[in-house]
Amino acid sequence: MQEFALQLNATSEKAEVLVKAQQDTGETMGELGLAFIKLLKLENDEAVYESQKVGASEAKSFATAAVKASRFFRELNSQTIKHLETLHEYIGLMLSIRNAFSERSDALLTVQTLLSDISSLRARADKLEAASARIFGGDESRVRKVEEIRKKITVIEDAKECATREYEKIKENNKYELDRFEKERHDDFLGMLRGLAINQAGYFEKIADVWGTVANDMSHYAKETS
Amino acid sequence: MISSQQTLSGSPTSQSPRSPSGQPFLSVSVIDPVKLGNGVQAYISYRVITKTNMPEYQAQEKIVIRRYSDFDWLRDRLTEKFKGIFIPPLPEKSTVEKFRFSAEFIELRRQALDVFINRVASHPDLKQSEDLRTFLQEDEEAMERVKFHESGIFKKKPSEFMQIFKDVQSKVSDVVLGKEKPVEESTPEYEKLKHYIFELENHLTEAQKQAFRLVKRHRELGQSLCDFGKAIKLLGNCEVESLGKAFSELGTKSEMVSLKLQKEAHNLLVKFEEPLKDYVRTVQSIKVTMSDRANAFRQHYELAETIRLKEINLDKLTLMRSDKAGEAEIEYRELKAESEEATRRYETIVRRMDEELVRFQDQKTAELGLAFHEFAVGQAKLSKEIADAWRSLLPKLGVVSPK
Repeated sequence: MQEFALQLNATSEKAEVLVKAQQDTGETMGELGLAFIKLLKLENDEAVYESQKVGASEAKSFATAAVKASRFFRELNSQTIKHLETLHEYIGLMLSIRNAFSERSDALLTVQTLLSDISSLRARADKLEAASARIFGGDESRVRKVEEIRKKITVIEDAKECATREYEKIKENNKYELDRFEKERHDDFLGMLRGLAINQAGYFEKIADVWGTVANDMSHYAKETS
Repeated sequence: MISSQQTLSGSPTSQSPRSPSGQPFLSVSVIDPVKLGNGVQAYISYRVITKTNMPEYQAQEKIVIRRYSDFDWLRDRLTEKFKGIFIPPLPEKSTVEKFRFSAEFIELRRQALDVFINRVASHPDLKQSEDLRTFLQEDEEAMERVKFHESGIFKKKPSEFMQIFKDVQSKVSDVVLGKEKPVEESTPEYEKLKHYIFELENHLTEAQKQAFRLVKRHRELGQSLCDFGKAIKLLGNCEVESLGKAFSELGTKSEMVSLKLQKEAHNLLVKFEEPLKDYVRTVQSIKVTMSDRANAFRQHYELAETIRLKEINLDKLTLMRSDKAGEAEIEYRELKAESEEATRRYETIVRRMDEELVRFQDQKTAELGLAFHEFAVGQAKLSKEIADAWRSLLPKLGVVSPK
């Protein structure tokens, strides 16, 4: 559990860095597109040569594609963030599990404390009884004390019964919760992995289409290699 | 109208795509960068291979060793002698990176030098340059001598000193006469051109900056994906069987995709960002030509003004039959020759610039188009590979894919 919590934190940190990097990439792609839009505007406004008009229209296809790709990156990133939320959720859940465990140990400690109280009281009562039995006719004060102690023991035994029931209940709950947690975690994490993979595949397919079209349109610029 | 790239038989594979060769045939390659010297003195030397059928060259094939400062020398000479022509740019003289000498830096520089020398060798005017022949043919010691002779304390020729004195003179008289604003050529077309060039440099610099940033982003994305993959794998180790395996698969896939991103980052740098940087440098070279043109115009204009005044003075002296007339006549003739020379220089620059602008636009449209194409191809390939990689993971995660 400890190891898991540790790795969970570490992964969550790396996930944040990944998300930022994805965001930055999309942003810069968009900025690149905008820079070329400004350039093509200049070429259009001040075109003197035919090649400038050609150049401007090429820059336009390029810039439009870059802006489109940048939008896809943004969408991909917001989906990625949603999926990676699972990591954060479970970091929170780990905390409540730790609390549940400490509750359990507290309850156990209560029971054990009560048990030890009972046994020390019993020991005292036995000692007093033994001492009073040696005195002929009995020892009224001692007998009375023993009575007190026996009353106390009964009360504490009741408390112990309560505490034990409480502890058992908590133990039962914890086990139930833990089992549920395990199952949900399994489903949630699998869902997260699937979601991540599906998003990456889907959006990069879209981005590939965008650039594939541009590549085709501009294939006449390709250098003729030997 | 895209100039087709002629592939020359037997030319080394490092023939840059941005450097077409024409007739007669002069082909140059810059290859084999080698680091020489140590510490602060360290520099890179390159092998420059020339293949030609031009009669002015001593041999059909020649190999020489050159360093950056040799290329710099050549460029200076061309700038001096071919005013009006947009001399192809050189990569920056980077003194900081020299210390680091990364393989990437060395390769980019080699490519840029190769592009430079090929552009010079394929330019109809520049290819005739004597300095180019010197650069391509002389052995290393001769090259050093030539460089040393040209440099030194007095870099300027005597006539240039005269010009400086004249400039000072005219500036003084300008101030005296209250003409403080320098004389500038200003036709509407030229104004438009100046504006266009300045704006072009701004926008291109911005585009190049973003392109460089995008290269960095690819690297960062790759790195972060790699780190994430490693972390996910460690997390998966805490898991039970099937889920643990799923984590491990995702982690491995992330690491794999990260490598593709790093590769594309390098591709972007070489095939897109560098051409953009080259475009910026070319525009800066145009600005240098424009400054030369401004100087030439000023000289032509001022001499024309001076001639006009001298002519009036001469007529006056002739009319008065003064004995100063003879002297004045000689002075007038000398100045007239200079003025005609200055006008000729100015007109040469204008004519050359007009031709160069057409070449520039055609060349740049082709090169930018190629850069766009390379970018699109690279991104399409990368994106498809990434998509495929993630898709191949889905069955392992128990997802039934519609594809």
